[in-house]
Amino acid sequence: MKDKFKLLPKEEKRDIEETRKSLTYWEDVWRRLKNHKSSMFGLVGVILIVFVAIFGPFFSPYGYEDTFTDYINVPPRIDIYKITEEKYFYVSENRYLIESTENGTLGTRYNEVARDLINRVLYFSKPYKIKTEITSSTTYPAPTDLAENVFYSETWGIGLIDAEFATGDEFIDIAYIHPDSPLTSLSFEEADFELNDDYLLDNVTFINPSGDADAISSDEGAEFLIEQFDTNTKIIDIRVSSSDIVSVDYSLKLVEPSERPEGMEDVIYQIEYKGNEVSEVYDTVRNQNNFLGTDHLGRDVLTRIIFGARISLTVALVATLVNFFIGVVYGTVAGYVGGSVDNYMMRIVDIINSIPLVLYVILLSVVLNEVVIDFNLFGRHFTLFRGSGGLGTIIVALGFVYWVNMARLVRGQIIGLKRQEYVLAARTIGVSNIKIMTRHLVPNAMGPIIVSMTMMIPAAVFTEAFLSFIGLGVSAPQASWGTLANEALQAFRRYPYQLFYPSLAISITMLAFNFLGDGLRDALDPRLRQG
Amino acid sequence: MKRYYIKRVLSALATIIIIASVTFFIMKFIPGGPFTREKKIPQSILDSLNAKYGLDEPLLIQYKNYMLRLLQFDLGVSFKQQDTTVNEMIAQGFPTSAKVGILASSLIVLVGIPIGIISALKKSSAIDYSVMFLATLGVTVPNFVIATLIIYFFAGQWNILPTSGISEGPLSYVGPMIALAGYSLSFVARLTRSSMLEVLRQDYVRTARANGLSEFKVIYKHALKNAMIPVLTYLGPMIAAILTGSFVVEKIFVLPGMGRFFVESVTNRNFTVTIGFTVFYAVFYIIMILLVDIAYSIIDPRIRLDS
Repeated sequence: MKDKFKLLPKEEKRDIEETRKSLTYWEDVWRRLKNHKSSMFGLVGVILIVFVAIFGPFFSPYGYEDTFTDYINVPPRIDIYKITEEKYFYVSENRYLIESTENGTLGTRYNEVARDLINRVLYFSKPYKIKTEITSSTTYPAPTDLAENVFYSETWGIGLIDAEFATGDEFIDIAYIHPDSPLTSLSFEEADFELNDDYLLDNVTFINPSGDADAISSDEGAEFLIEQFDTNTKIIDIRVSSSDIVSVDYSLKLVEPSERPEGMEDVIYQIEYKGNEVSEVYDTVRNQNNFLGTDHLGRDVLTRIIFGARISLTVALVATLVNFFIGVVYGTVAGYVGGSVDNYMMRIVDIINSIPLVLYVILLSVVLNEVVIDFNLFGRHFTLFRGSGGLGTIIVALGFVYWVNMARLVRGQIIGLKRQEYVLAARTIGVSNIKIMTRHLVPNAMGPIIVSMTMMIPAAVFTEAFLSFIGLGVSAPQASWGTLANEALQAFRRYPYQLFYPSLAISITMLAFNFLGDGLRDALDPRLRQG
Repeated sequence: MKRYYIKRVLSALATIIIIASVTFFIMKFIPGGPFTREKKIPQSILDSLNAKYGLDEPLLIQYKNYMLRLLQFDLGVSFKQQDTTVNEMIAQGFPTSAKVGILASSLIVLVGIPIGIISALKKSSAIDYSVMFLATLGVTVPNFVIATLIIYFFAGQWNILPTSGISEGPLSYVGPMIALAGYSLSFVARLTRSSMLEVLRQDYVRTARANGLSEFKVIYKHALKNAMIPVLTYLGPMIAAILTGSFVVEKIFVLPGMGRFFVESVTNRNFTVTIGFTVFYAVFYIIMILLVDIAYSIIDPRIRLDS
């Protein structure tokens, strides 16, 4: 017998029995959650979305209120027309002519100088700005005998002949200079311009009263027309006339592609510049200035979506926390006390549930409009709540309505749990009711509560989007995703991207939270595992 | 059983009266009345308008008058639409909302439940994954997005459906129907699937199989009945909500339904319309819940109504 067994050498002996580390409930939940692919996908998504909402605005080059008046309703992908080797144009849907580069960086927006409504042709010219250093703010009355086509500036005391579409070699014609004007020696002599082959102008010189020359270089154009004097910035807007006119024929745009003349089916705009006629789109490129385009006020859509994430998620998160506290307390009390108290509490829940949400929101927004809660901390002033902003109102309204579902759920859980032996045991040794509820009942009902909270966040995003969509949301210029979608709806057939991207943001957020919620439900209660 | 129904009807009536009262006082509590305009109306005109509609009386008298009229099914006159009673507005808007709603509800029941069952039976197959992916997508995409996508592609780009209104024959109902059903359809499919899976694991299903019943009978006679209980709980209130109109879908598709009137009436403080529509919805809601309770006892005789 003895020979049949061999003793192991000492180093191969095991001195303790191998055991798996025992996992707590939450460690076990985490282990199960990790194995659930779609919920990990959801978790990563949620973390990314929250990260973007918190830090995105710091990296955003524009604010959510910044408007680019030159680039209104410019889509994320633009059709550019190649006119010459270096000149590319983009014609926006609302017929702005904007200079572009080959890769889609937008430049100057051209001014419309004339329109031919019969032939449907628009004429554009490039605006020029020439700066001078004049600090005088006196106004100079115009002489009575100026001709009708003379443009007179009361700020600078100069009168210029309106030479729009003037042809020939004339430059700006000075009609009159007020004797007291600081621009006594303003000169537009031909000698001051150096004309090169392409009619590029260098060194347009203004001479101010102190005799300093202020050299400005502009890159092209042969003739100028002083269009406007701006008293504050001292900028003269000058636009090119005659030979540098770009004409855009949009007549085919108004015709269905099938009804266009043969060979012109794909033509939208016919652009003509210095004899070069172009009607073919050179390329469709990504808009480099505004990655997701701009809205009807020229605001960057991407920036507004990032800022909107903050608002939508804040609303969802705070409303969910409010629901959590009210719902858990209400449901626990109703479920634990039971009897007629439970009955009455649940009837109140039914009534709250059957009055439409829109009513609460309007009521609360009116009542809360004047309420401002603020406080001072470390010498800084913080506003905790401002009803008029719309954000607080929505949070309160959502918090006020959604807790009823949470209360129902918690009540159901508590009714099941309170009959368990450990509650009876706690009672027999004289644990107070409040302690039984907080220490024994609520922690054991936590699983379904957490699942319900995860599902409540997308529901709140959804409801907030709905309320903003019907015009009861946060007030302008702030915008949640719902507001963005609502604003975009006005013209979504022309600018579908303005509706598409905020909607995509809503959908992705909902998807991420839903995946996470599904996974959490399976992890917290393996019995309910869906497969 | 009879006693149970009497009790249910009485408690339903009490709930409706409470809902009407709460809505009445909420609307009275909101500043601004039905005659508030941006431009100030002379006080004398305002006074005579208030006197005409009995709005100058003490609040409790107004409340008493309103409730007395409500008991006679008279929901009052609208303050915005000339010479129109709220009953007429409901009669005008409800048929459209109900038509679209019934179509959407049938779509939900006839498509949502079957695909839920199929995906539960073919668990972890390609069909299951694709159905569940679509269902999750349907739950996550807001209905205004679905509606605008339908208009953009089907009406704008491909010209298959009319863009708005319901005047262009049966095709014009397709868009609103899908937009209205999208969320609930996906939700019902998910719910049916998970509750079906739950039931298929039960001992009695195994017993039925062990006794040699055909798979068809096991699933459709024994499993399906019990699996339908959570689905019914969801379907009842949902159908009530869908039939009484959705503001968003009606706004986007320009439908002359009830949802639009309701939201407008709240912003206009047109309170007779607001209360009238709320009560109308509440009645629907309560009837649906009652029907669901009765359906429970038919599906599962163990659920006794009067206990």
